[in-house]
Amino acid sequence: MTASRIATCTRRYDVTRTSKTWIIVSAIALTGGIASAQPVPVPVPLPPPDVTPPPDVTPPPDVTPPPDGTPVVAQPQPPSVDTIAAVPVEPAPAPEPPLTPVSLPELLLAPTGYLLPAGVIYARTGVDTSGGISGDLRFGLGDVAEFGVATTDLVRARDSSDAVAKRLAPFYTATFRMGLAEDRLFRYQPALTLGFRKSFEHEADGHRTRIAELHLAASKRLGARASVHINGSFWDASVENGEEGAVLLHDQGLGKQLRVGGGVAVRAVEDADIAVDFAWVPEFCFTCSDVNRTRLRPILSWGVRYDLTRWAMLQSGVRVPDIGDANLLDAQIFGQITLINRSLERVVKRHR
Amino acid sequence: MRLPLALAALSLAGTLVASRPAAADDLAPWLAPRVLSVPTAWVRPTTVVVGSLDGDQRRGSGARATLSYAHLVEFDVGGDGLLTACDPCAGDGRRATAVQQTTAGWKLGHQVRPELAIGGGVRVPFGYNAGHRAVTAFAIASWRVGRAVLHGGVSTWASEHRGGDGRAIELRPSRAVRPLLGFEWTPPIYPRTTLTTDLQWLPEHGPTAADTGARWSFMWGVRYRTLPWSAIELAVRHRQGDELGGATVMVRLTAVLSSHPL
Repeated sequence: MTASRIATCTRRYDVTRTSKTWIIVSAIALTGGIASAQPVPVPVPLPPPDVTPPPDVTPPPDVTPPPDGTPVVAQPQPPSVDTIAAVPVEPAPAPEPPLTPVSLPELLLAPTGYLLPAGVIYARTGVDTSGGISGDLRFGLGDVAEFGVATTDLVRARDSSDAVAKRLAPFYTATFRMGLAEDRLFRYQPALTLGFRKSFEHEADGHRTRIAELHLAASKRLGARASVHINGSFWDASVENGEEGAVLLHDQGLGKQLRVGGGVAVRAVEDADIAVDFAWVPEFCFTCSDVNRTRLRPILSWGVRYDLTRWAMLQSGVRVPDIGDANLLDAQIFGQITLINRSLERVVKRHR
Repeated sequence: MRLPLALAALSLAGTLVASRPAAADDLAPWLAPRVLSVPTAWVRPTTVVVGSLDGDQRRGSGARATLSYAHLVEFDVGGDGLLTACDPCAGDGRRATAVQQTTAGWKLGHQVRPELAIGGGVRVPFGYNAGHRAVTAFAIASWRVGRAVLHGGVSTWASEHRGGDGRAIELRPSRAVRPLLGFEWTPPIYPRTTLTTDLQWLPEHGPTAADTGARWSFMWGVRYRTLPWSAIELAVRHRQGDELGGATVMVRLTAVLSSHPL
């Protein structure tokens, strides 16, 4: 009898000790999992997690049957903290790390020195009062490059120098840009991007036209509310008809190909930027002399970019396609909507 | 017999509505996109759409929808007959007609202080309208002083149309910079009623370049706020060169659609 009681007590002690061990291990695992999922408030160090079990640990219910074989009904007991912690619950998924705001690759028309983050898909669609429709779709590659295709309504052509310029649309282009983020190499380094834009061949009125642009853009933030952007672009273009072959812009010298543009953006209110930019767009003249067959026209744009949500922006403003002649008559009011999808970026970051 | 009765009933109803006790003194200021035809510098602090319809005794009509957003921008689309064409343009036989234009406007405004705002914008047409088009650019400041509001600024425009000989006549901005003036006053005893007047110069297209130029347009009238979100305006327009009998009498209904209480 005494030996039997000793064996029973020993078994009870073993069960209790095993249960406590599991409770402690589970508590450590759960606490560690949750703690490791929290963002660390750098540079404040976290205190070491306290894994010491509290002294008033309630023992688990004794379910050992008595030696006389009487069935035992387990008495309900108030759940303790450790009991709750010991419930085999799947660890909560780690919260997403906060995504940095996306700096857009274009101001209103001029390219910026910013690149889309890896995996970010950027889409912009616009209309203007001249009836033009434009679109731009880009994709961020590895935080160092981006690729995109676009259609623009800004390229125009005229039959002769005194004729009214007509829009060549849709004029499709493809873009590849690569560069460095701001402050990456050294402090105060502006964001830098080298970009190449090439058009698909456009045929209208028996003339085939193409454009290409190589640009180097730099962008720098000035405090928390402003940024300044500057770019130098190197253009080429060709106009070709069946009779006289191609007339190329690069045959006219560097002075006809090199241009400087840029702009400024200021966060005027909490969720909107005022932006002004200056860019260049080629215009063709089909019957002009070779020297004037392709001309680069300056465009001045100003407007407001309004953050509708974290993934949608509304832009509207005014652009004057031929500001060099102060030609207000061709001024256009435009509206654009920009959508940013970061789902792929999250997936990429999760699997890194 | 029925028509006079209906008119009498309508007049009576209007009188009753208009003669309600002056309990509307706490109405928020009416931040209209225009005084009567001159733009203001106000931009509403919330996203709203302002719609207006107007008509005049010359069978002219206009409609405009204005979207304010970001506490900075106003974008509008609509049609009006502010641009005029004349042939002949002077003398007793002068004949001027309104040219209906469908235009879009974009204005950037900034509230410098609660009682002072500055703004600037552009109004451009959608294509040609019977061979006429005019683009207007303006800068304006609006200043609230007690129960009065003063508006002052400048405007310029470029225009193009076909002359009598079929050739294009252009007005360049450098040839046409003129003032914009506006005034509003809400008498304390009629807090729902505002007396309004404005003055601006507008292009008038003639058959020759010499006949084409800027002519003043002076408007005066009354705005009555029927509800916090709507108003009715009655106004008279006088144009340079027209006789007194050539004035235009117009009525305009305006409503504000907002997600926030006005």
